[in-house]
Amino acid sequence: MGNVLSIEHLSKHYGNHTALRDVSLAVEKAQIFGLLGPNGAGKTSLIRIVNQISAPDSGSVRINGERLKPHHVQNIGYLPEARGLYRDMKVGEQALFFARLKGLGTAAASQRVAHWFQRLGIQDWRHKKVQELSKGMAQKVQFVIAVLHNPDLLIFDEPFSGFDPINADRIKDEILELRDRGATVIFSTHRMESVEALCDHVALISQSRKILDGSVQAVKNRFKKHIYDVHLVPFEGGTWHTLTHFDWCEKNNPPKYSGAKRIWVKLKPEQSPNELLHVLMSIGTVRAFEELMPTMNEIFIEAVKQNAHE
Amino acid sequence: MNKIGLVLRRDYLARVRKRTFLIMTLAMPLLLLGMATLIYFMFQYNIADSKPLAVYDESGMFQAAIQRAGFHHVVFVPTDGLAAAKDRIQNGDRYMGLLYIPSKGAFDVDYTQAHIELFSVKPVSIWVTDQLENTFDNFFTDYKLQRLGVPQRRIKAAETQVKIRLKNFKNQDTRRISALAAPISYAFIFLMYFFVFVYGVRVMRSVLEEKLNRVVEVVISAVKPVQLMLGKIFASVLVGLTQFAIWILFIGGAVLLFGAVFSTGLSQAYPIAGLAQMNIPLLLFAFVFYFAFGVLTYNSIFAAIGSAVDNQTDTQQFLLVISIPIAIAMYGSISIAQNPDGGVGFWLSVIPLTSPIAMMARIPFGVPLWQLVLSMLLLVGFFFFMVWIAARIYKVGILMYGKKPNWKELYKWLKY
Repeated sequence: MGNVLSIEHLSKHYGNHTALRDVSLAVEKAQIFGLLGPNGAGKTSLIRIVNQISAPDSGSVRINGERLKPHHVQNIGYLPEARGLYRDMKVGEQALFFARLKGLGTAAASQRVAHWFQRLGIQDWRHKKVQELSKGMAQKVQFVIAVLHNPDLLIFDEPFSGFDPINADRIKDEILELRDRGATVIFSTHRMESVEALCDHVALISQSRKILDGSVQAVKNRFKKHIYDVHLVPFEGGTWHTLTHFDWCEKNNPPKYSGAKRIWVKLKPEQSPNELLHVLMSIGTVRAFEELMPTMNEIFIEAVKQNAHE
Repeated sequence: MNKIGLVLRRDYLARVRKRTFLIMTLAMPLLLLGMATLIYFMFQYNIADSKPLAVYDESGMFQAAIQRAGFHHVVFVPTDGLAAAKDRIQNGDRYMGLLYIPSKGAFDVDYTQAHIELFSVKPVSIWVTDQLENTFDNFFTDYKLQRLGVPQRRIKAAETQVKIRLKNFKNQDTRRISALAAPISYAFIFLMYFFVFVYGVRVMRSVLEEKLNRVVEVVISAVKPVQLMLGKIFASVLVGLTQFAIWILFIGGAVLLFGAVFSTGLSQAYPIAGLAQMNIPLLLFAFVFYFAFGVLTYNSIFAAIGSAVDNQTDTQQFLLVISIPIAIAMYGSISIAQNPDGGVGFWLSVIPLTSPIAMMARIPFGVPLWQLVLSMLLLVGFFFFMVWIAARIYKVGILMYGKKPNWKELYKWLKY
């Protein structure tokens, strides 16, 4: 599948401060792409460049293979982390204004606003001023403003902040549906559980550089420790000594000989899970056998720490 | 509609739909009228409230002359000793001073003329001194003529008041224009000063508000910062012109409604009649032009300031600097009424930061075409230059939070 967004060797400086250093990324069509990184890493600078809010010092950005041009704002929907709307403007007028700014004609804008207001059940708010809305209600309006021009590329910066769990779930479903209908989503967040639930691909930026990039599965594979969680009921009179050439990961290792046991075993590079399973089957009944995969949260922390030490 | 147009429309409608816009538009002429009336009455009250002048007239010849000259606030004190009179006046707080008119024996005009003195605790205003000196000049001239044998009635008959007939080379009477030019000039000075400041501060607040409620990031993901800034400052000018249009409609309505009164009353009034002799289309065109480009130029500076700061307090250091050219234009222009074609008038009316106010002060008196064209071209050129500078500051400033910028910082932003 082609790349909706291609970023090559992007660098950006503000005076003496380097915001981005030689960052390259490729975001495929109909993908949810997690853009991760600690605060101040350079994510917002990158997002602003893609949104043409600021220009890079060097490097290039392509949308659907074309160099980034002013008309591409029509292809991009942006929900910034720092949300804001015109407080004394009516919700409907505000949505129309932003739709027109994104290049829709008056009729098309009205139709899209009506569609999304109905879809999210907010049509009654149309004539209310933003200052009359609660924070969660305003967030919904902001989400509509980001998506209503039907862009190919959506950039959501912390899209769930400010939502209660029910509405956060609703927005999550909308994001997934947008992806299923062909939209590409760049998703920037610190909530790693939502990265696991939503993202197909992630990139991690730290200290202005990209330090990690790949599909969620590939990244997890890269950071996994080759530890297996084993639930074993040993045979009568069975011995554990056959397991001694594996690394034990449990604190109270070696395990006692009696009763069902849940153990973690770490494989050495030259060892295979089949080999371990074979040995386990010779000493007991294997009730469960699962490779322990790192969470995105653990990967995030480890990668950022590693980068800091380099 | 292009994006500047969309921003302009939003900002314009947001402003004019506010109830405060309608209230202020309707109330402002009344407020200005009220203010002018108040100033007039305060001035009158201040004159009426001034302390009387004590006069110690040893000659006993000046009572009628001084009172005839319009000095109602004088009290002739008993001539029972100058030292005692001085002591009384100095230690009391009832009089502004003591005017001493000496006499030597029989009235000696030369002696008296040379020895008149005015004692006061605080310096007496130059206005009072001038009036007194004029009174004495007239008295002594009359007295000396009478001594030379010219009878009083002949002196009266010889008094002459020349009124030069003011004309242009087309032989048209220009006295009425001259009488009207100064007040119109002052009105323009005040209006331009007022609107440059009021609309500038309004744009600055609007930019700051967009920045603080964070809507700006969504907006500039769809429009360029310079487009957003231009849309806002154009909207501000349009709001101002709308206000003027409403006032002109009201005035026009009033003229139609009270046409009879205007035709028989005001239009016959001497200075108002001068309006017909003025180049009204040029006045209106120049006003719209200088209002538009003056407000646009200053608004771009105000917008840049609004974008650079995080709160109202931080705007003070920048506002102080902007107010300098506005103040120079304002106070410099007041002197233009005395000499519209002098060096001050010329330079203030061609330098772009002062020309919107100063040129409007000069135009009622007539300005050579080349100076008008030069001033307009410079102002338009300067507007583009200022927008370029302001846009560079604006695009960095609106996304900069938590930093207290100074002039050095703004200069750095120009190079980002």
